[in-house]
Amino acid sequence: MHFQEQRPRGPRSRAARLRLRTPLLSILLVIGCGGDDGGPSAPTDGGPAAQARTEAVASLASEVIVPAYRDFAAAAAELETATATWRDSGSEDDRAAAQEAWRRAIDLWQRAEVMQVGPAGAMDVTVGGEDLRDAIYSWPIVNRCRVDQELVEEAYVDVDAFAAENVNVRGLDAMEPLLFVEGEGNGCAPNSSINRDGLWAPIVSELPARRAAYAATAAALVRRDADALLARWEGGFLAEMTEGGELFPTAQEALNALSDAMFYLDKETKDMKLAEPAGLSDVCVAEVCPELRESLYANRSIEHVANNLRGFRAVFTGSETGTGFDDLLVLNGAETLATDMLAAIDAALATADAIEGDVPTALAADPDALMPLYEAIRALTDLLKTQFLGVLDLELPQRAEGDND
Amino acid sequence: MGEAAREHSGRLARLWEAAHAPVSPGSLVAFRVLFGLLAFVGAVRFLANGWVERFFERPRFFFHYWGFEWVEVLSPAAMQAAFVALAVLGLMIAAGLFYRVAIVAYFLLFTYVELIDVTNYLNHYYLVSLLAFWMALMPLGRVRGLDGRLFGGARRTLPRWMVWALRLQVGVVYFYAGLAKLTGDWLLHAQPLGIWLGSRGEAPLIGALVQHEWAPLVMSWAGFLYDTTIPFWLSWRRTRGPAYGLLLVFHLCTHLLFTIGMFPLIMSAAATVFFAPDWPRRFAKRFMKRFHERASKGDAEGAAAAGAGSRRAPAMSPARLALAGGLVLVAAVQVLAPLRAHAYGGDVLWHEQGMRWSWRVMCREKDGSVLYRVRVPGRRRELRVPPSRYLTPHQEREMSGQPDLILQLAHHIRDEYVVRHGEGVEVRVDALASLNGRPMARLIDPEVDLATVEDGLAPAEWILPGPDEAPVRWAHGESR
Repeated sequence: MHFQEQRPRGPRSRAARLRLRTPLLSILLVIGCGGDDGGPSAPTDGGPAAQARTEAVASLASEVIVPAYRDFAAAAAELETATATWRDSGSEDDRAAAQEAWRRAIDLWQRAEVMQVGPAGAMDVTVGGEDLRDAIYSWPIVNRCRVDQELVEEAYVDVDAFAAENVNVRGLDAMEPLLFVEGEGNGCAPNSSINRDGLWAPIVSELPARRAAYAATAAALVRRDADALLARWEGGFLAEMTEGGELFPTAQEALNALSDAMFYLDKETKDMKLAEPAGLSDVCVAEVCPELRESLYANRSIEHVANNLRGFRAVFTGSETGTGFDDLLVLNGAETLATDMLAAIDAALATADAIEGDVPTALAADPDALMPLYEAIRALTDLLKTQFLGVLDLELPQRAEGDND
Repeated sequence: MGEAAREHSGRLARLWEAAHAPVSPGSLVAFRVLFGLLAFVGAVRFLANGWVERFFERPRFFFHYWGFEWVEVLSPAAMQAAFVALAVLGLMIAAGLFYRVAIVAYFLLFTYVELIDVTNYLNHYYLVSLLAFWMALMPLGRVRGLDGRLFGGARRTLPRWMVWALRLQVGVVYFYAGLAKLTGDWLLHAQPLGIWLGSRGEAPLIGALVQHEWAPLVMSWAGFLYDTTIPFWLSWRRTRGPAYGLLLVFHLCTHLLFTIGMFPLIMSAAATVFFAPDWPRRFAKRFMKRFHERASKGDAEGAAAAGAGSRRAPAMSPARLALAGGLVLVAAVQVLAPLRAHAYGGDVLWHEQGMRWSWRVMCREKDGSVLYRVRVPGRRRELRVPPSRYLTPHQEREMSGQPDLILQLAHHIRDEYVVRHGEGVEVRVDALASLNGRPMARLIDPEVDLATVEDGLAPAEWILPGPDEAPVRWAHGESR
């Protein structure tokens, strides 16, 4: 910009100055005040690609995630009823019915594990996270000994008070030993207080009844938490996510959150649920470590992995009629990737189905038994972390800024 | 002395005179104020956004720059204090208070912070360090700064080379940022812009516009032409005004579309050095009459002094010539260093050798998946070690496409496992990457034991060639 030394001043000079100054100031104000940390910006209609992303978020949230939570809430209610019946009768048939109700509930929850968007997610890492997931299922934060200590203390008799207990003594994970462990032993070390101080031996005769009562309390809390999670979504978070708000100013940011939840398959399913018992992680010091499997008492570890894959598939493909990530890939010119990912999901599911028995049985027969499933899921997560993120321009939720890519 | 030597000596003398010709300090004072204020805002937003904690306190492993392995992060409290200090130093620079101390301290502290972890590398952070370096050589506190008022010795002019140095530095950034886009991906396939614009449909003001089918290709070419030529348009008096207007629009658009933080502001401020040295006085005279009247006396004196050549060029002593030679060398490095990537052959966006410090700004969408395979003595099966065990999600995402960082973490893993299992640890990696939406391909030879590979400047044999196929085609939803 070059300014002449002498410029004739006329009656319009002030207006001219304002005309020149206003756009300049506006530009500087917009750059200075907005930005990645400047709060929500008004979404525009955008073009067809933007519209597709908006539709995908709406469809995945309202036709995949909310129905998954609704189904789980119904299963949690059935579990509450079944455990209450077992508590009241103490019969083996009712215990078996409670076990079956737990299996139905955990199967549905394992699908929802890959949908930890918003309230279910961890508070410090998930956008809108409220830690509600841990109250329902806190794995890998589990502690059989703490559950047995609660059996001694009987704090579970007061449901409301028990709701304030740590997540590792309630939820579906705490219910697993209560429903599936038989016998008189406990999960604590000999020097633990319940063994050292002789607190366990006096309750051995009451164990079946105590376990049933504790399970009923835990199931009541799971039902409560499931209802709370569903209510949180239907009562505002669904609108927050689909209509653009402070948490998700754009559909792209909501998609980022959805894709981030899908990484459960990489970090938890592949690197923990499979790599640790398969002896691929140095957490396992022996050749294989079946004791590091997820489901120690109901022996449903492989089924849990399969249900994680089913949940992943549901998010990837969306509902029957709605837009899923696969549709977005096609719209963005990556039809082959959409096909490859779907094939990888189905291949991993087929591999899981081909494993006979649960982890201990499979590893006893063949120490490499989990390798095909591990590799099948890795093939899928490689696609997820590379071309999938690239084509859809998905970012980590907490990424700050960059000029290098 | 021969004729040629005399002629050479005469040319050098004329260049020396021209470089030391006194000019109005106005443009550099304005730049000092803008730089200082941006330095202040930049440090404050780092603190306010919790980025000090996220980038310097949370990580358990830091990637070092080659040759700067000795740089270590400070304690959390000291890192917070460092950013508070950067904010205070920014204000001191803007005010011209203890300017030399402030700008040198700012240069050292800011550069230290940027050297802590390679995954935090941003081109505009590097530019800030370079600009601070050049500013540390200039007595900008003595011109319209508090130093001149408080301690005397105020200067009315500055030598012309100071303006030249900043113009060269800023011009190099734009030119090479443009040259980096001289690729088939950018100019023929409109990638990665096609990918990025496809997800920016909700951007304010221009979201709908960039969704048009023509937008990626038009914007790719516009960006390429803008970056490569804008330093020249800004250098030419006749085109300077419109060029700066275009620059503001360009950076406004990049701000609206991309998450690039302070970059648009830094470049908009830095480009003011292309204006005539006395532009603030002319600007004030035209638009800020009262301010101009108050300030005009001093400026007029400065302009008069500049016009009269009140400061004669210092004599060409050996020491001064050596110093000048050093600065020319620094400038030459700035001009030549970005070209080093071409010495490696192949696609620099894939192998990344020569990628940093070469102003390859916003020219790739690269996403990787990395899994280390570690063989330890006495164990039949290779252990699988995910990077997430050591890295934050931000670090892992940045590392996954950069082979030298993948190698660096491999060495860390080797050292850790040697402590636990003894010598004989082998570390291999399954590193896959997708560049500009292409199908993923292997980035690193999975058979090479990275535990035995050393990083260096030579072409890395362990990095596999990039894919030949075209990037993902730009689609804008027409098939719906």
